[in-house]
Amino acid sequence: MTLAVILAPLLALCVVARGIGFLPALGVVTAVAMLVDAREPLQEFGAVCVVLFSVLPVWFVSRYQDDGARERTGPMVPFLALGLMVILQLATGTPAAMGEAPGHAGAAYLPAGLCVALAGLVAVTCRQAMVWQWAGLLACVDGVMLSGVIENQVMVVGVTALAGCVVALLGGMCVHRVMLRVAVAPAQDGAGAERPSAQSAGFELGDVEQTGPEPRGLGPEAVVAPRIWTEAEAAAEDEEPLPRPDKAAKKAVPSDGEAKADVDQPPAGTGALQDKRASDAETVASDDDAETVKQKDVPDASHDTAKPTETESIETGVMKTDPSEDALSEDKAQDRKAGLNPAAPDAEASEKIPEHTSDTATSSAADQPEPFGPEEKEPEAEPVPRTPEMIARDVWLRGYLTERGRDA
Amino acid sequence: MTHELTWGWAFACLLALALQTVLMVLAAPWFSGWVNRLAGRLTGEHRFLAGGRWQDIHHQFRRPALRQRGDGLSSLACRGALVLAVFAACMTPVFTLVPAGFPAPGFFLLCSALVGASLLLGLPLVVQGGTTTLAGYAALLAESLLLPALVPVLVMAGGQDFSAFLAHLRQLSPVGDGAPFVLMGVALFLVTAWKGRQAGAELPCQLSGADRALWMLATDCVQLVWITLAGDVAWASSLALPGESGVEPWLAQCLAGGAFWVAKLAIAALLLAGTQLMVLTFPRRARVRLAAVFLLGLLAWQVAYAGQSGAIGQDRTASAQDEQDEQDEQDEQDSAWSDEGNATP
Repeated sequence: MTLAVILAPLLALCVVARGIGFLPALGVVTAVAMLVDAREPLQEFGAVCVVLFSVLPVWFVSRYQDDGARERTGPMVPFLALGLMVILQLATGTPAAMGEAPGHAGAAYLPAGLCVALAGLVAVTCRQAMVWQWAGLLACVDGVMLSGVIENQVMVVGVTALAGCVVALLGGMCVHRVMLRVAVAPAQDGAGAERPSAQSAGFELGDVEQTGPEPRGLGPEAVVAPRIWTEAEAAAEDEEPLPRPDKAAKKAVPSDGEAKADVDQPPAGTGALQDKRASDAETVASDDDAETVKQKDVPDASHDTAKPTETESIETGVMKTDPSEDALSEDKAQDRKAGLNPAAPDAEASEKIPEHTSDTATSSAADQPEPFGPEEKEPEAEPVPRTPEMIARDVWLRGYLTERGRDA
Repeated sequence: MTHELTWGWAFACLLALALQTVLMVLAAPWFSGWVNRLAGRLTGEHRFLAGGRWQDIHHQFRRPALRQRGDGLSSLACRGALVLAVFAACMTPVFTLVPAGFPAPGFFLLCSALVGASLLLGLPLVVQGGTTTLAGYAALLAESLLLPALVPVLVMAGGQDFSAFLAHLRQLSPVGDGAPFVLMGVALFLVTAWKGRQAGAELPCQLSGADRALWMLATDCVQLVWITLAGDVAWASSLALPGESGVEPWLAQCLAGGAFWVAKLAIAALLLAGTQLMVLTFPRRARVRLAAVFLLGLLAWQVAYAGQSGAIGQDRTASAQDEQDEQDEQDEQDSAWSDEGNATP
């Protein structure tokens, strides 16, 4: 009878009472209780196994977020375990039971291994949190192994080691599947400096991909809706180019036209806004076609001016294409294909763009200064660079929060 | 302890007892303040320094009392509680035991004094009325149920003197054969845990003036005596035993025992502050405390004495069988003698 043998059931009770945090202490004390009496290969093997089964799961769980919010069991559960220990001691400590074990006669005796296993079973039975139940199973493994080592049962120790491996592996896989990772932001000297602070402080899909898959076993393509993902990719493509000098020279010409058109025709766009919005939902399906047609239609000027608008507000991308505009652009494309008006691309651009700008101006306030040319647009686009990762993170977080809210 | 108690040893023991009592009463508010501060550090709150409790008591002593209904009874209860607490502190070994032959109390008397002091401390809450009445009744109920919960521990100590019991425990190593008594010490320690209405906050007492100071001092004394008792039972080897050798080794052992006592108090303060992290309602805390004390004491008693009682039982049955066999043989002999006697005439 040693102090470690007494402390092991107490620490198992602490595991039942407070959770997996006491499991390493339980493992160390159990290992000491094994090694105190004799140091043979069986004892050493058992001690190593117990320490591994107790320390590694806690280290593994520490990489994930706490999931104990759903626990509703009360503080009296450890007393159930304590009462069962007393009954167990009553059953095994009687003179009849002691007479069968020759080594224990007349000495203080506590079936510490069975008590620890009993506490683990109580934790598995009465606690609701997954990690808590896993800790109970591991405590059970510790207890059975302590019992086998004390009684010198090689088969028991071997089978328990196997079972411990299975329990640890399966529990780890469950934890990895269900629980959320703790936010990890590795400080990368080059790349970290380039990112804005809001992005580097939060949860990043890119960081997760390097170390393992998505917490729920889903990749970013599966989590994010495909349409949003394609939009995000398009936005990322449009954001990166710094205007080359020849492009900037080309843009200088239509910017004047835009400004004129903006002065001339704002009320027309706002007047037609109600009808356009009413038929927005019908044109979602033909959204991509309209985009391509527009790009064909306005090769140099409208392409450069319309795209940054989409990067600034991706959610309003649906609002930008209107049926009248579509019809107009289709007509113009047909006209261009027929070669009716090949010499006036600038005039067409000046006709088309004012509608577009007036529509987006009413839909989002951030698009207001858009028609003033690329020189004013660039400093505004910089502070809100929404990369695909950020959008994917937002969408994923929104889904996660609604799911948690439903659980609560 | 084969030698007889001399006047010199008796006088030295009296001095040591007085010193222990004064030390305990003076250190009680410090310990309470330490626990409070540690609990504040653990829970992220800013609380007073360890000496703040003494300053508070000192300040309350100098304040004029605000007389209220039932104040006479409250004042009497506070004085009685302090007397009982100091009496218990006098009986509790801090760094030295008393030699055999010196009058020493039993463990039951010690526990009764402490429980009585706790009951008296709960009385002003009931008498004063107001919002604390219900909490006062609950505290009285919890304290009165404490003695039944302590039955396994009392059975472990038995009817012998507490000093003799500790002198017996002193030969056992807490890491080895004395391990069940560590469990007993844990059970005694849990008596002081989970007290008060909220985590870390003691029951609000509406006393004022010197009565309030006495109430606070008695509360701290009772707490420290329980902690010291638990430490003594868990590790009795740190206590000095007079009469084993000369005076100088005894004094050295007393100094070491004092240092070990401080170390035990530090560990106990950490554990107490840890128990205050559990946020429970008052009735639930009382239930947890009583159940923990009873079940841990029962387990300790089973572990310590189950094997021995079994062996003793076997020995008793064996001896009874031997006696019966001897008696049967004697009866046979007697009958043979009587047969012979009957045959001869």
